[in-house]
Amino acid sequence: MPESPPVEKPTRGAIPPTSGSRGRTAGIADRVRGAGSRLSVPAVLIILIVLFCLLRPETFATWDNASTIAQNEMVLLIIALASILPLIVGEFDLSVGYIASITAILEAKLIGGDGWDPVLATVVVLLIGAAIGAANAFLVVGIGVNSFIATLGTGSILVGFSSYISNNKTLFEGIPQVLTKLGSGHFGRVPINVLVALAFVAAIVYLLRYTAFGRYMYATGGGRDSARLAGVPTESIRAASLVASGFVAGCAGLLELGLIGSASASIGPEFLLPALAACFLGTTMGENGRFNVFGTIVAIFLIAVGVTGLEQLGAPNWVEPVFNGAALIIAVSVTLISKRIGSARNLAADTRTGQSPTEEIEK
Amino acid sequence: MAGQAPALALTGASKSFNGRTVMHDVSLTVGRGEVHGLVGANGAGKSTLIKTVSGFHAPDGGGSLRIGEATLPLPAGPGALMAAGARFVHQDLGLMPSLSIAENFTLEPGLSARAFGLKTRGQEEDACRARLRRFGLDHDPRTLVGDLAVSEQVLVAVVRAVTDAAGATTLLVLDEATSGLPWNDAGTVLELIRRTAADGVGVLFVSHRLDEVLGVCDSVTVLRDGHVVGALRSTEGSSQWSLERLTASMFGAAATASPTAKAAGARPADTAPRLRVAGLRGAYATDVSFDLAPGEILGLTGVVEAEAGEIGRILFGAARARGGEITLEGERYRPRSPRAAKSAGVAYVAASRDLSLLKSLSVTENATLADLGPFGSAYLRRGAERAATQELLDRFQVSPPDPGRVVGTLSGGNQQKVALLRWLRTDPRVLVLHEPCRGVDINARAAIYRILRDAAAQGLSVLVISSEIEEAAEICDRVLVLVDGRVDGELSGAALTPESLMQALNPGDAHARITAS
Repeated sequence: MPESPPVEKPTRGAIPPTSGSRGRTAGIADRVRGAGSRLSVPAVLIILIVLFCLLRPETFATWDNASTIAQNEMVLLIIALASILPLIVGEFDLSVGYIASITAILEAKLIGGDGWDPVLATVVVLLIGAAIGAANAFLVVGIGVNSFIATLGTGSILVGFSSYISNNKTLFEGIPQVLTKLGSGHFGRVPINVLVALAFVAAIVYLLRYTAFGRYMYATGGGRDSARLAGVPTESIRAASLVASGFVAGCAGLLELGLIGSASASIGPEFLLPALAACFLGTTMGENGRFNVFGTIVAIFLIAVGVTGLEQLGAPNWVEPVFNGAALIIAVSVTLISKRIGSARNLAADTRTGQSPTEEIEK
Repeated sequence: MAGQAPALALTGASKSFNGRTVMHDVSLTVGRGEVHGLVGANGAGKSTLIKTVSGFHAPDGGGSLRIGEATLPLPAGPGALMAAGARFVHQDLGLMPSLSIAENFTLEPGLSARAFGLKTRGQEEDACRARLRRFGLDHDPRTLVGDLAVSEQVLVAVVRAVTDAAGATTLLVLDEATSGLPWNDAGTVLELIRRTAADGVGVLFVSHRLDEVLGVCDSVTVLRDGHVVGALRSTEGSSQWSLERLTASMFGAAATASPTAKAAGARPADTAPRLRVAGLRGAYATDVSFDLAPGEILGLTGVVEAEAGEIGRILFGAARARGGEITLEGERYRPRSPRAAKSAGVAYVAASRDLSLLKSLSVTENATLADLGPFGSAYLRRGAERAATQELLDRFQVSPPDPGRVVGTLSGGNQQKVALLRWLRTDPRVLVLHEPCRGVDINARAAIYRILRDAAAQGLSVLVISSEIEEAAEICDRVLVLVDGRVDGELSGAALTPESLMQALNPGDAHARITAS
């Protein structure tokens, strides 16, 4: 109990005792301070954008540059959204990248190789994505395998199947025009995949913020046993978030297919770590350090802007992963340290007023 | 052991928190070879005293602490206590269930200096076996501690403490170490305690199980409201060394004062019960039967906390019954999950607030979690949700009345109010509360009792599972006492006092004197 208001205030309204009012003002102060640290990563993003615009006005500060950055990050964004669903309920899904690969390969193979109807093939492929999620859910929720291990295992199996189905080749044929349009087309000067990604963002934000299901997800992640004791169907929630994760990852695979115009076993896996990193970096912007969509988006753009800007300044390409990792570590560490300073300050305030929060009650 | 310094001599220790003195000039002496009991009601200052001896609290000026020959500065550091020969076994025993006995023995305090010393597994096991044998135990050192019975775990913890390599033991403090033991299973542990004392160790035995205290101790110090109010010796004869003397001393005049506001709970006997439990069996329960009337606050207490706790979890679908019948308003009731119990109108607040609340979530999210229905499940009206929570916070006087605050940052009492209002707003038929006021300060306690009485007056049936007998006596209309998995006694009305409850919890025949073997 780092900052409990130490004394019960039996009555409200009358002139509050000093300790009680301290409790309330501390709440507001905490929130201002909390909001401050939550806004530091977005602030860094804005500073980077301004900085690169000033340094490279002719290349960086252009609509084309912005639209290219956005277009290139949308698949990563959707895979990050796929990852965040299990993360919120306290599970990992390490198979998201592999699911993206295999759906892209299956789509190309079924249409281009086997001559399936594109609509039918797309529906089947998306269902397969969800089915892989369901298999993960069965292992994790049904049998009780640690999700880290279960999804690592299914991921590895998917790598093998991807190689088998694609015969270790890159598939170019049979990509439906609609997919190409969605993945790489433009609406006016706006990349269409940005609009697609926005639809996913809107749907998931709605799910998380405005449905009982989303609330149950956060409750399950906050403490599975406690949530169960509040009547939350934690097992269904965990299972559903893994199924949803598989489905969304499958959608991301198709969008990637439309964007790059080919499918191979290697297109998906490289998304996994940046997606997870973005989710975790995003927690520094979440209410009470939660996984959240807004923070994840900012995190993705922070990395993309930083890397693009540095490249335009002449940095070699090995800078990207270094920047990626450093940003994650620094952002999360700085948030933790500022929280610790905050609670130390509260503790000091408690000590000054002679209140010892942990010792208020003799048990 | 005359001529030797006593194992423990604490003199003139006082301690206050928030300007409230919880320990007044307390002195305590434990002689070599003596088992000395320390008893007192909740809040009497037992744990403050123990924490002063163990160096966790610094007393407010003055006071001195001697362990054997050594005079220790206050607060005493762990190293100095260790060197002086003080050993502590606390309620949680400090054992790792997933490790073997031998491995647990190597985890003892003071080990770090030798952490890289070379010792083979076989040597460690032999050493462990030898240490166990010194106390007549012949467990296989390779047994996992988690596979041992609770009483055996206590034995292991005690043997580990008194035979460790850090030097001779002068003082052994057992801080509620026996509180998890099944009722019939304390004998071996008490024998071990006597045996330890016979080796010249002073034992300070803290327990709320007065039968054990009377059975194993040579002398007892009674604390009440932070004062030493009694000192009894087993040699004084049965009129002095008795349960009646102990309870009278523990509760003083307060016990005879009639508990307040109980009249409201007096129900006509012919009301049909809301909940009827018949022959319930579980992991602990062997045959539990009782009725719970509408508007009644029924207490359930037992010497072994887990026994009473299990009943609550079964009623809420969080533990499985192995037999028996439960009927809720005439219908068969056998919840398969907490969710099913909730739909049937049964609510439950767990003993630990890590379970009854989601501490990292906000007050609003916690308050509404059990029933989001009024705000719409496909489109959650967050404004309405927040407003409804605000109203509840004002009604239950939660401080600060801030719906957005993270629950974990509230004080214990306010957290408990949030846990309560979560369920009261679902308008349940039966509310099961496990240790409703654990870690709750005195003002919030009164407020919570008031909330419960009001709810009961509206017809809610409340089952209070509590190991705090003062609480049970104060708040309940009727209290059932569980012994050995069955209802062994029932107290209500004027007969329901902390004193009478304490006596009911200590069935007389159990405290035969334990002697060193």
